[in-house]
Amino acid sequence: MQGDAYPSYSWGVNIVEVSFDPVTYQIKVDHCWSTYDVGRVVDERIAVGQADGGLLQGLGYGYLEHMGIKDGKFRNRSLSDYIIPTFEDAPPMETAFIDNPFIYGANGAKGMGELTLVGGAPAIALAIEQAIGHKVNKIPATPEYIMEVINHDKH
Amino acid sequence: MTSIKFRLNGKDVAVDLDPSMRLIDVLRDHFSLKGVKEGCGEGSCGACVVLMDGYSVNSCLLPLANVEGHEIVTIEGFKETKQFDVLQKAFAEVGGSQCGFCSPGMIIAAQSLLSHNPHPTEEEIKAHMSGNLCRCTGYQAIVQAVEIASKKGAGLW
Repeated sequence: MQGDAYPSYSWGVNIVEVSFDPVTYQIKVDHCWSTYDVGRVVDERIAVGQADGGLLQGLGYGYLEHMGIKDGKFRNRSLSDYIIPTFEDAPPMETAFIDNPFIYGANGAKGMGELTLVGGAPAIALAIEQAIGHKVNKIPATPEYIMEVINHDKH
Repeated sequence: MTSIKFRLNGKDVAVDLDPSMRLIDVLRDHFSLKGVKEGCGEGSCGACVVLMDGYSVNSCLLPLANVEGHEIVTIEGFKETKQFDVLQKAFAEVGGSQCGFCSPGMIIAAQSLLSHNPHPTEEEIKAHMSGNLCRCTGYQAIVQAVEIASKKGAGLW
């Protein structure tokens, strides 16, 4: 069988602003801005929903959602110890689409669902890096990890 | 076994079941009210919330015995109301639902909020609804939906 497995790429940019609490080492996401080129947007209401939801999953991946594995088994067994973002963690999100119809796509469309998840984690990791003034080399950048990084660099 | 009596979606009901059963199992398996969703089964996600005397409660954490004499409303009962109509249209207008699994719980939580605070601020909405998790929407559209419902349904709550 022959064919093009990846006929099109979609593109996006995510900007994330965070605050850092030097006492508790907690991160608060203040605001996010995103722009995507997904060809022609077929249904903007659903597309914005996918964009918001994907970005928040990406943010969670970057600073909250720690999945531990020990002896080949997951250590998180429930939503009480695998923390995903709640209403209180969700920042205001502003999203814009670049209208750039893709000639080989149905009605000019390209894929968009997964794309919106990709940028959130690196964007928040870099924002945290800037906020704390130390390199973040691992995600999720949990308060425990941030405390380690800051205290390690001190010595 | 003594039967347990309560009001369910506007009707008096009596059930002869183990009083330690979780309310969610009674609602889903005994009354076939499948709009009550089980997400985590331990009170973390809010997918299973129902109204108990007008307040949202996690039906996965509530033993059947505790509802004796109380009024329970599930999404199936709530959908017959004008308030539901306003909330449903608001959720549809802004896309407050993506996969939809959390939606019955979100609508019930929104009803619980608006019936006690008809014009909540954004912070109040977020604080009240924070027991309900959503993986798809990013929450922003749900907050907007509740704000729209609060405006368009002014006087209903």
